[in-house]
Amino acid sequence: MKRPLDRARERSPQRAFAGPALLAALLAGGALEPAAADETLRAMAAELSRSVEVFAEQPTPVYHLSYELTQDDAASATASFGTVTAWNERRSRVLDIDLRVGDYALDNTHPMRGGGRLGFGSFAAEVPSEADADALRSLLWYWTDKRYKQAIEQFTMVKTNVQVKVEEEDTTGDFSPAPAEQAVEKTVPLTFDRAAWERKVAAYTAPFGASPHVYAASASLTGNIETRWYVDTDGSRVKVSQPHYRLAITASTKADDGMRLPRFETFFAFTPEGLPSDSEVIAVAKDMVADLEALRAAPLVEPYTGPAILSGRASGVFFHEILGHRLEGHRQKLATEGQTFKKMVGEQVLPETFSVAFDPTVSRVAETDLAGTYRFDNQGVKARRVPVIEQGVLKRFLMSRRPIEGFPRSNGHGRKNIGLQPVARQSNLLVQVQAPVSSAALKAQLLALLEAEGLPFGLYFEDIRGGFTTTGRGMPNAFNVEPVMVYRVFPDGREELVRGVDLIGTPLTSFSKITAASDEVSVFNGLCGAESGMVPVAAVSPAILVSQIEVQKKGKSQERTPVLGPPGQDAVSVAPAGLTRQTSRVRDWRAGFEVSSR
Amino acid sequence: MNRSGRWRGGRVAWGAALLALGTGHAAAAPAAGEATAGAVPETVLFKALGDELARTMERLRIDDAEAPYFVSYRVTEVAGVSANASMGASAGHNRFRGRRLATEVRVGSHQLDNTNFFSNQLFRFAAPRERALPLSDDYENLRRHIWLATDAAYKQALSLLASKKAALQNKKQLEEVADFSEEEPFRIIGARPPAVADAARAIGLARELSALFRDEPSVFLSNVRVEAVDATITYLNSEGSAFVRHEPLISVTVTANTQSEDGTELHDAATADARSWKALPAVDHLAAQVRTLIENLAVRRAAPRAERYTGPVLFEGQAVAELVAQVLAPRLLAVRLPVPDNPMFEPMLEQLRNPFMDKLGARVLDRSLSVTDDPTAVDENGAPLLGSYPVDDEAVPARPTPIIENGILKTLLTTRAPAPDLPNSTGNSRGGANATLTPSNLIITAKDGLSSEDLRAELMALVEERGLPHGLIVRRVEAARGGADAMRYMMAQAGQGTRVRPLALAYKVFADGREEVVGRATLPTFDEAQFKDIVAASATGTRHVTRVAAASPLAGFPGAAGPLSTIDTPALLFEDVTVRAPTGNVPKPPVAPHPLAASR
Repeated sequence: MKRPLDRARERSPQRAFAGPALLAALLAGGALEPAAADETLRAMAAELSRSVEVFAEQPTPVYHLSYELTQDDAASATASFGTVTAWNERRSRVLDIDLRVGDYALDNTHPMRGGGRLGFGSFAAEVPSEADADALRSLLWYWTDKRYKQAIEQFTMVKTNVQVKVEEEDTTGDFSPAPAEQAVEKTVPLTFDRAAWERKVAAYTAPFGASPHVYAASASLTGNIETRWYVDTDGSRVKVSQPHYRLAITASTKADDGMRLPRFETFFAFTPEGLPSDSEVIAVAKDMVADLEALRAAPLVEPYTGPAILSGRASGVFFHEILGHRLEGHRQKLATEGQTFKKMVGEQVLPETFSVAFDPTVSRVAETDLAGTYRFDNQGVKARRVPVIEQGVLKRFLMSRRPIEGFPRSNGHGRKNIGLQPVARQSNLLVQVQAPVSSAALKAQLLALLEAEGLPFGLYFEDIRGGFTTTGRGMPNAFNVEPVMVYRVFPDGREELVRGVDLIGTPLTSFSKITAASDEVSVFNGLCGAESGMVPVAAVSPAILVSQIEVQKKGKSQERTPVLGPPGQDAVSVAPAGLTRQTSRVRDWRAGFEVSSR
Repeated sequence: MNRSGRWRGGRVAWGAALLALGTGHAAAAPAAGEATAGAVPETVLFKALGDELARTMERLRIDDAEAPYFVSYRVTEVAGVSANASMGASAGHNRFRGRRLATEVRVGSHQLDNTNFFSNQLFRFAAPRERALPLSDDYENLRRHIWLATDAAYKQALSLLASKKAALQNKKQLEEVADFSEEEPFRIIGARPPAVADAARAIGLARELSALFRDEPSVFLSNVRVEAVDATITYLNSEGSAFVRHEPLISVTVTANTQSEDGTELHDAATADARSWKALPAVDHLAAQVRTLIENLAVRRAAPRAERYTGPVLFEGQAVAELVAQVLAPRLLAVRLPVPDNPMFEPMLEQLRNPFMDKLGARVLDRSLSVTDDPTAVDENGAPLLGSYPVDDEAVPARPTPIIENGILKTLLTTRAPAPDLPNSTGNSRGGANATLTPSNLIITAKDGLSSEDLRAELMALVEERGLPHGLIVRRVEAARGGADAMRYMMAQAGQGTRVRPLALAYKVFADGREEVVGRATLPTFDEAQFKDIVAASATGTRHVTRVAAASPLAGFPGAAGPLSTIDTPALLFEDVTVRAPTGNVPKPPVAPHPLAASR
């Protein structure tokens, strides 16, 4: 039987994704046309300039105003155990307004210290989804007026708050100007063949019916075309249209001790054709069934500290949690944030062989579309590559248009979900390693560590569902990665599937323990949640060896397995104990992850 | 009084065959498979539900724990479309289809079971209450889902019963009320009406109606929402009850906001609901309603700020119906208060107690008035009213319930959760998974009702007697506003704030017959006690469709999605009502003029 770590060899070799070839492989976005030709942009620009004129005469004038319309064309089909359970098709268009009074140094969005209302609230209004200038302008007028009144109220509170509190550590302003951008893409049409999608999701969930122990199984195929129109007082006129197609399969069982054991697989692409073929997905579903049966029989692991290998996908989430969230610019500024890396620019934070960049302009790596790809961020700033760590040394942060000490301008990472205030968020996280080793060598290094320290076993984290991290000061500054497929690796090289643990740690300690990386990369596409909502991101990373990690017990349900067997079967037939896994699958596919910053 | 159009009594009007009724209750665990054999339609869904029900009643049991004594399945299938439009442009639509299973498992006995219990566990276990089912009739698959849902519901029921017994063991129950009423099994299978979920029609209608606002820059914000949903509810329980109920519904909601010259925010809505496109008012009728909405807002924008007024007030039309729906109707519901596991919740729950529970046999209305809840009521053409239904969500057959007779409270509306002195259901459980106690069609009749001229003369006589400069007639109350409304209702139940939404159209009436509109006003102290002192009522009534706030603390809070009720009531003259402008500040008018007004 082939073991998971050995299987890693089948993966594609690491690519030099810093190379110009990939940078050139730009987005799947639509063709360009002139900004003046777009009726929606014209109506938005007309109302924008009228508003600015009117508010200029007010005692508190508006110094920055932007309108962003987000149209979501969405369709989905869902099935469970081989039959369709729901479908949905919708279109919505929502307006966001960023209206600022005061000036770049201090405005109404300034974070309030010591309680009080937050400097930024959420706002979103439904607007016509048809290009109708009169209807659109009427709504822009109504909501601009509401936002203006809110803004002057906020600004009064902000000014008082600044006066009564101690001087702030970071005295950079609240906002920065940005170059005027002009770009108009054609709206990408949504491809939704309902009958075909229903057939697919039904077929993908059929294999789960074969197991008496799978208690929940569903597959959901979703298509979203996010089309955004953006105008602002800096002169930007931008329309972009970005397709996202996602297939998510989830299934779960329960161990006899009540522990719920889930498996997740998600696939992402810019086109429906970019998703894996039916036969590939059905093979994955069958493997999920085998995994679930194996997990039921897998032994529990006690809390443990020792060396571990994190697969490419696991290390992608690991970097996203412990590094990415701490490099988001605004977190270096808020008085409530831990600011782990604030004073470490120019210092060594990772081994010299490691470099990390965020690059929303790379759309594809290892034959996989990247979810964190875009052309303009939510503040009208052009996307660009941001090398945050070069040869282990911290160089810069991810920036929105809110400046921080030493970094006065945006680098195109001001992102948000509709209705929320943009903050610095991650895009495509790319980990690049000099002198990587083969997977076999990585495992050999792990075994050597076990021998040197006389440890009974190490761990291999093959697949994770996601994770979360806390970056504030009010709570321990820690992270938690939630694995679903974990193996114990014994000094003789044997591997055994185990269950019941989460990977935990604190950021700086964990980084100091990274010792090596493999020569293969994997892609993890997912949705990341933080204060500005859910945004699509990707993490691309090789497998890494960490000399010391810590695992803690997973929370578990106290509910027992079903009392009666499945209908038609009088008794539950218990699968033979032990590992019965199929190991033929190629594991370069992706899972979704949820990340939140608390 | 014009009541001739109403049809009462039998169930024939539903055009549905009344299927064989079971006789009485079987012993402890009725073999549901037998009881349902041959009596319900042989659909795959019923077969899957019935087979799993039979297996559950026969074999589902953990060790020495109790087996279920009652199980019910309710499958709600919806296919629909909702469309929004603003100023003649489509503003998004949603087409959807789904089928959901709600599973009810009871352990213990009718006297004491796992329900009527308020516990944090309810939130923790919230998930198993509803589960998505396959859309296609695949027997094996349906069985699998039903099996897993039943298993989860059974475990939750056992756990809740244990917690409830623990919470009760140190208390002496002063009121011994059963948890679940005994009812005769009932079966009825409705015929499928024509489908209404027509996306193109819904989107088109929304666009057409919203275009009427294009020439009205005095309305600052408007929206038209058209929903067309075909819902089918399939029900089966272990007592042998079964039903299929089809509920197509088209709802048109037109909302409009503006501000008066002094900044007061004004809001109102026009709505229309129907079970078929044919029954929906024609487009020109709907357009006329929208124009009235626009005109009413224009009248209110120009109205002077309301002064305080205490004296006789005549409520007419939509205003009297909403007054009944918002103040009197919630008091006609026998709200069962759950046992809390945490004594901290007791005072909170006590505040939700309906004071009418202590008034059975007492006079609560003027002696000339009677109130009946009638889910079998039909209109002049013999079509069921929008609050009508053949059977409620617990398979209790619909029947008229006289609630108040000549001013005396005879009973309250109930579900199968009994209340003190009210051991049986009146068949008023609706609202699907969030089973809610609501009236169906509330019909108020007045003995010796007056003509509208006489009623007005009566008002002016009272005004003169009090030496007031004028009287007051209220014709319209503002339409509900979703979330904010739910909060207001919750506060009002706890005795905070006003029970009635702000008045949209109120008029000063002078001795010479002149009327003068009053700006936005509220009824700060109006409550159900004032219905005892009604001076007079009109001979003819007004029929109005609305949604009555949910009455159970476990049913969640009222939302736009609640079931429809019809209120049919005469105009009512109250002797002593206080009306005044709302307190608090108002926002300033917009800084810039409306873009369409500016360009003209």
